[in-house]
Amino acid sequence: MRLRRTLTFAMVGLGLITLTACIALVASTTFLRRTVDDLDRAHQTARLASSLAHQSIRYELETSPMGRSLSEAQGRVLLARATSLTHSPDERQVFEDLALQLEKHWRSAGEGDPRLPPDLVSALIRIDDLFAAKADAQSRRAHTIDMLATVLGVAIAVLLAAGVVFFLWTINQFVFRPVQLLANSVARFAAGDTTVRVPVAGAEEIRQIALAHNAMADALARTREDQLRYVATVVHDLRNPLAAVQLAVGYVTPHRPLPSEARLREVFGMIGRQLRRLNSLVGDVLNAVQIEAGQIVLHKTICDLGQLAEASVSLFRSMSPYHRFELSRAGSTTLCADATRLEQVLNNLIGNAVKYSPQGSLVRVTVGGEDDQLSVAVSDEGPGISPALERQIFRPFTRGPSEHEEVEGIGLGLYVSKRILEAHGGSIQVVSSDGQGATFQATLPRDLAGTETGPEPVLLPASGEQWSSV
Amino acid sequence: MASIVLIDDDDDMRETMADLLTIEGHEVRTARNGVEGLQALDTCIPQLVLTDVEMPVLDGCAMVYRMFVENLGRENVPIVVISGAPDLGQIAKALGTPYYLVKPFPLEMLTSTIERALAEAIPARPPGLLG
Repeated sequence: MRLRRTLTFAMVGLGLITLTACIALVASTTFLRRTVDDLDRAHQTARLASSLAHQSIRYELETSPMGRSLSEAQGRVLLARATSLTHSPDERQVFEDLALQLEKHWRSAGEGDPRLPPDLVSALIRIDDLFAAKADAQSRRAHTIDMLATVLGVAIAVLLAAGVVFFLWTINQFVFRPVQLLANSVARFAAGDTTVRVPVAGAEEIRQIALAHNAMADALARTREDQLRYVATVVHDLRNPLAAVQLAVGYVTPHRPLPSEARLREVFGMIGRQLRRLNSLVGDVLNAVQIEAGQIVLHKTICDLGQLAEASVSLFRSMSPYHRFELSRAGSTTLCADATRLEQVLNNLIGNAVKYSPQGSLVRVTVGGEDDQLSVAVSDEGPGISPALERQIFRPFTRGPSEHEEVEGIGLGLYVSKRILEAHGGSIQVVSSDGQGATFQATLPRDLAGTETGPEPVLLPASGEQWSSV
Repeated sequence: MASIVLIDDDDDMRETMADLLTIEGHEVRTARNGVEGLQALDTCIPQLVLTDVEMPVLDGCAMVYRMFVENLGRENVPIVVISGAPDLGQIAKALGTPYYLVKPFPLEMLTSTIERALAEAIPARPPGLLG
């Protein structure tokens, strides 16, 4: 049930009832006025007829010709006034009869018969009867109208009251109560009870608000779970290097002779390695957190993506002598970007290719420049990425299949790389099929028109990625 | 002292632990994952297994289940699980072993846990596999 439709129906319904009431009121008053007019006319006509009867008697009693003439003239005036009040043919008929009888009466004056002629008396009686009947009919009509108006008034009042009660009940049921529930639930949620969900009830618009609120609450709960999992993952990954360092302390204990110098050197070498690993993990986490908070800072300069790729390839060539590397460049590869951040991306992509592909396989890096866009692709001959993993590979804490030993890192590299590229206005995607290697393809705008900048904070929109579990 | 099979995918962790336990007088054989661990157990059944939980190829939990299911005498070896996982206690419970060490830990804790495991010698009994 839509609130808008409900309100429209209610308003139209109440409006119609009110309109009917108004029309009924106007109609009943109009009928009453007409009835009163008719009654008044009947009364006047009857009064004139009565005056005519008196006039006729006085005419008979008049002895002088002057008096009779005057009386006749008065009689004619009264007759004319009475005739002018007639409306219907039967009224006109009785007055025409009367006029005829009066003419006869006035013409036969002085015949010495002091009585009124019986025909004249009959005509007067007919008039009297007719208008008495009419007055009676009008009176009954007025009474009927009064009854009808009363019944109609009471019915409309009842209907109006019922309509108002129904309207208030509907509003209470579909608006006020759901809104109250919504307000209570939101207040409980705000007070910290994150498990509370709003009951989805009431008008469509309120149901939509409730659904949206519940979706938001679910998303917040998921985010909270993700954050807890994130902390657990970070803690777990930090504990590994810490464990090796703490255990190494066991070499120097009071009840045991010190190990040989050569062994000590090895141990300290190991401690150094694990501390670097710790530092790198902490750096990764900080990087990811800063990027997620939209606080990535870019120092843009004119640099050469080809040269950066070359440097990265030679770094990995020295670190992974068992892999083969191939770098190809095409077109101009200069651009305006943060070289250190791009180096981080390249090291990450090439490092992943090395980590996830077998020794002796080829890692191919291709850098190409077009008019206003540069691209870099890193391909490996590893096991590839399954379609399921492909969908979430750029999410934080997502790692490739772990058949490969000594694959370090906590699954933040690709996420960080993607966000760095996005901060530059670029993008990254992966093309792979299970068992046939993977190619990570990044594109970057050349952006040479943009001047070199100092440290420039770039506000990234929220990633929208859920921080997945390891 | 005792013969121990130590399984951990982290080179530094594995080598340091093995070296320190050797200095303590134990005979330590190492493996980098669950599969290598099972092979080491096949060669000669030790008195104690120390294993990491998260490992490539075959993780510690899967390895312990196999030790139990394949039932070649390996299931009677007490097991100490080692991990930085926050819920390691739950993992150890699921594996049915009373011995676990949360990383990081000092050498003394490692040696005392090993001594206790060797003395009690309670083998892992995964509850789900007891029928």
